[in-house]
Amino acid sequence: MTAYRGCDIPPDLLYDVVRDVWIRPMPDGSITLGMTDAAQTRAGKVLHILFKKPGRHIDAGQSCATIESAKWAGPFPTPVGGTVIETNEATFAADVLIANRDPYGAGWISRLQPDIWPAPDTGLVTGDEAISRYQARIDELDLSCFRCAD
Amino acid sequence: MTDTQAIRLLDLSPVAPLRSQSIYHAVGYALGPDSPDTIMLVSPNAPYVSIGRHQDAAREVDLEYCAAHGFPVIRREVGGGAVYLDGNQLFTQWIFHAEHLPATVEKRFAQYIETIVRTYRALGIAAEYRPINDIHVNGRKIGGTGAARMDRAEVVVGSLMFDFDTATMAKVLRVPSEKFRDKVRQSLDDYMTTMRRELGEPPPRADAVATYLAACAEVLGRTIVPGELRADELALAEQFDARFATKAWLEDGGGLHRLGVKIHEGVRVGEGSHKAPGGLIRCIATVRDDRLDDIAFSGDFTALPATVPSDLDVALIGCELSEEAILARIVDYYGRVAPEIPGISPNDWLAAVLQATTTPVTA
Repeated sequence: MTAYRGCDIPPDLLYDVVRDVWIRPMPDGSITLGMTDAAQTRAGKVLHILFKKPGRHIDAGQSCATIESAKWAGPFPTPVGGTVIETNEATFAADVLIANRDPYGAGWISRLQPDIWPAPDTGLVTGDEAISRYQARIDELDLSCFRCAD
Repeated sequence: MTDTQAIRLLDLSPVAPLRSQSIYHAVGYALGPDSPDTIMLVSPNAPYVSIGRHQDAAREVDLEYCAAHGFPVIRREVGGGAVYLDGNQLFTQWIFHAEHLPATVEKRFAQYIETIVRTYRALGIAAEYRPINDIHVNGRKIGGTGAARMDRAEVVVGSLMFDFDTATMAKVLRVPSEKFRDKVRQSLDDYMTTMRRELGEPPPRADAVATYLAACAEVLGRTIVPGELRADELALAEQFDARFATKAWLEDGGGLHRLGVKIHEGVRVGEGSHKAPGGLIRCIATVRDDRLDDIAFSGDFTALPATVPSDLDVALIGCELSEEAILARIVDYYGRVAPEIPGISPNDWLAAVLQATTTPVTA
């Protein structure tokens, strides 16, 4: 795990740095998406998530869930078009702060079957490039991460 | 668009309730790379009820009452709770490029609220920022704020409170009992304030607007220039008008349940009941900063002396909201008074209090 100003940036994931979304390609060809540590810090404690249901097709840039935190509401956009095949609704029903506690693990949001993978022109980055891009963004935003569930 | 460019001011005439919500969504979603940041000032020309993005309308709002009185109920994309709105509030809506506002919600609110606080102070009201997103005057809240992301835009909304109709606010909420509604009304009166209440007469709108815009220019360090809505924004507002008026949108909540009715950040009113062997205990509790500020027991139990419920009300006021502290006070009362309440133990009273303070209100 790589951390910068308190923000974890696992180098093995793919990132849409501007949208603050991470993607983990799965062995079956699907992709898992979640909020980054920076995203959960910026949003604050999650109060509720309304998930787009499995079977729903989502275009790139559209939201596969809407998130309401204690003080903010907004979309959780997918950088890659695809069809929702699973959501993490049950986990959030049991612990709504799971994305605040464990954004890259148990707090994942949705799993999609992407239309095309690897998806072209998404600007996704990984490894050292992801870390350097995120470091620049975190500096630009003057952000320090903390787990909002604590 | 850079943050050195002028902010567009849209100071609109009063608009229909639906448009007072749809317009900032439209400007948010229409914001393109070259669009200006916008501060919009608008009031509704008729009363209505606005509900939070994920609230269950039928659960939170008395839809029949609203229909009977001609109050539209409109879901917004901003979170938070149900609120009754009318022409006595001037909505102050910021629709900015995300990168032109602080990155975290907390810092965004701090900046936004600073402008409201400065405005009230300039108008002679001792307003203070209470983090994260409240504005207080001597412990009373004056207006609410909220935030949302709309495509490229970060939106922060709030209002200048010329006046507020607490009686109607209490009536539009769906609550478990009229006693509970009375408690909500009382708490709104106790813990909310307005410019009318603070000043006797609210200032003229033009004075408040001029003061607010001066505060915004100062806090943001940017020029604010009057502008007009673009055709694409108006077209999108019409689309949002149509969407926000649909039953499907009203019902597209997702079932967010909150604990009691929030009056302000530190104050909420809740109701609960507990079935004990000796009867049903009902409890309405007002919690302020994690202490029992007010409490009222009732039920179908038999108690001697008959003053037990009201004695316990008094015994618990000011108590820290913890099981141990509440139970200790109830046990102390039992020790002092030795009441005869067949089938009801101190733990049953405790259970009723916990139901009122830790579970969502159900009507």
